[in-house]
Amino acid sequence: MNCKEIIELLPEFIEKSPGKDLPDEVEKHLSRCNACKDELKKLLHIEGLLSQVREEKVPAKVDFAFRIMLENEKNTNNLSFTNRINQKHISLSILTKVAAGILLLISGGFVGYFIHPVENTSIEVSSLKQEMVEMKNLVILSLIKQESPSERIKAVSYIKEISKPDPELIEMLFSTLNSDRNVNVRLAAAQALSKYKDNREIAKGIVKSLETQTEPLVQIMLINLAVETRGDDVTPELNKLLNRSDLMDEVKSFAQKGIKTLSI
Amino acid sequence: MKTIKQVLMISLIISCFFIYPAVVQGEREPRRLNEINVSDENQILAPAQYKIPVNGAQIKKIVIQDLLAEIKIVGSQNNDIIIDARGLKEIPKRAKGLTYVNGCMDNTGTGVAANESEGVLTICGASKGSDDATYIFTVPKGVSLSIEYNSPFAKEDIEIKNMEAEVEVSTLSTNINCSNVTGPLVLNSISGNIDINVSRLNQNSPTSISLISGDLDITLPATSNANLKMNSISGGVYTDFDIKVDYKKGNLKRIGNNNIETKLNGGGVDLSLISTSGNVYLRKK
Repeated sequence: MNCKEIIELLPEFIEKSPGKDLPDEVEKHLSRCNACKDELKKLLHIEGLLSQVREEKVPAKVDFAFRIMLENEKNTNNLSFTNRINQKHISLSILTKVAAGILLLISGGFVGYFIHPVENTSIEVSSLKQEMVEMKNLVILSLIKQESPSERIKAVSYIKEISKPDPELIEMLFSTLNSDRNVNVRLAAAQALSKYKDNREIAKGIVKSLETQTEPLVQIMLINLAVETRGDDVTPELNKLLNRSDLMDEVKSFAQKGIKTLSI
Repeated sequence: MKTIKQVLMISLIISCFFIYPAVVQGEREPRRLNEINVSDENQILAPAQYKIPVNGAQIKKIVIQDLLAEIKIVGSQNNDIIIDARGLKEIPKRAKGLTYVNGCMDNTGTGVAANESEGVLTICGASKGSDDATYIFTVPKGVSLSIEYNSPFAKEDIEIKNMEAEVEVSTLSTNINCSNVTGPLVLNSISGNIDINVSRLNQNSPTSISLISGDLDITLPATSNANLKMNSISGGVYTDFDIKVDYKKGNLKRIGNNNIETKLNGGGVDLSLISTSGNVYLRKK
């Protein structure tokens, strides 16, 4: 065995059986070769450092927006890439080979792109699309601050056209739902959010909003929406709502109907 | 010679300052006399009119708030903003020489205050007597309008005619009537009815009308383009437009919902019509 082979083998030995003796052949080589000995020392040192790294715990107060994002990701991609890898027991070395292959392919693509930039327009298109989405977000966020309620409704209806809105936009929809001074704008926000009621975090937000909502028209819409989410949290929230003294009779009757519907 | 000329000029300017208030006073004199002669309390005054001394072209929006009177808005070609007050009640006899206090000072002589700031003209009720009066506001038809009528004591209808800009009205039990308007309309009411006759539906910005227990009756030109959304939870939706709605199997596990989304004449501006327990009538003309 020469130095090159030994150095290639070392990481595998350390990873597989840390602390155990190395095969005689390797041991023999190491006793002779100082360069390889140094290499082993370095690797052991790195391994030691890595084992000291503890897994960081996620703070309890994780940003609401992040949780929505996570939820989105989970819904669309139930079987993540790493999950599938684990299931099929593909060893790490194959994975690295595949990764290297992909990397080569991408870098080849880039080289091709630089040599013949005109032919490769798909990258340009996708980056343009990305820019469009960003522009749209900007437009929406500036429209929502307009004095005219009709313009604010327009902002909310733009969001509906985006298939997977930014967490920032979802948060904006919730603050519009809870605090816009025009009822029609609040209603438009409720309707826009209803599109994402399958997302658990958003459904929870809709139910939670019942607590703070003051506009009877929006309260009725939210009761209707909350009942459709059929979450466990809906009935207690509706009961809480019924105990409120400032509740309009009309809203009360919808809340009672809601509780009845949920008991079916 | 020069100094004499200067002295003359200055005295002329000063005298102008003195004469102006006297002229204004003179204009108001007849009404004052009228007020003093009245012996009964709260007598109805003669109709009063006031023209707002700003060019209507500079005003982008008119906001009417805390005015519980009957309100009529008429859009006009002119740039003038005219307030016409009818049936305004006289202040009590004992209040002569005193000012009505509610944070809104009558600066028009018609029982309302009108103040302009950055292109927004805010009009508010400045007299107890204004609650029972009828106000006709003649405004340029391209000015945006916002009326806050969210009081349980407001009872009269609101009428809006010939407006070609955004109209925003919010009421509790008051009916809203709009005729010959283009929108965008952003109207809502708890238990009032809303009647609308649209001359030509504005395509730039969405129209949204929402009610709880009132009926919504809207007439559109037969050729109007719109992305229509009609919604009634426990009421019905009726129309003579040729609307194709796919039949979806009902879901028993909800309170009940009549939700229709369709395109009128190939689609256009968003048009949302909601009455949660009342009916929605959509007519063509």
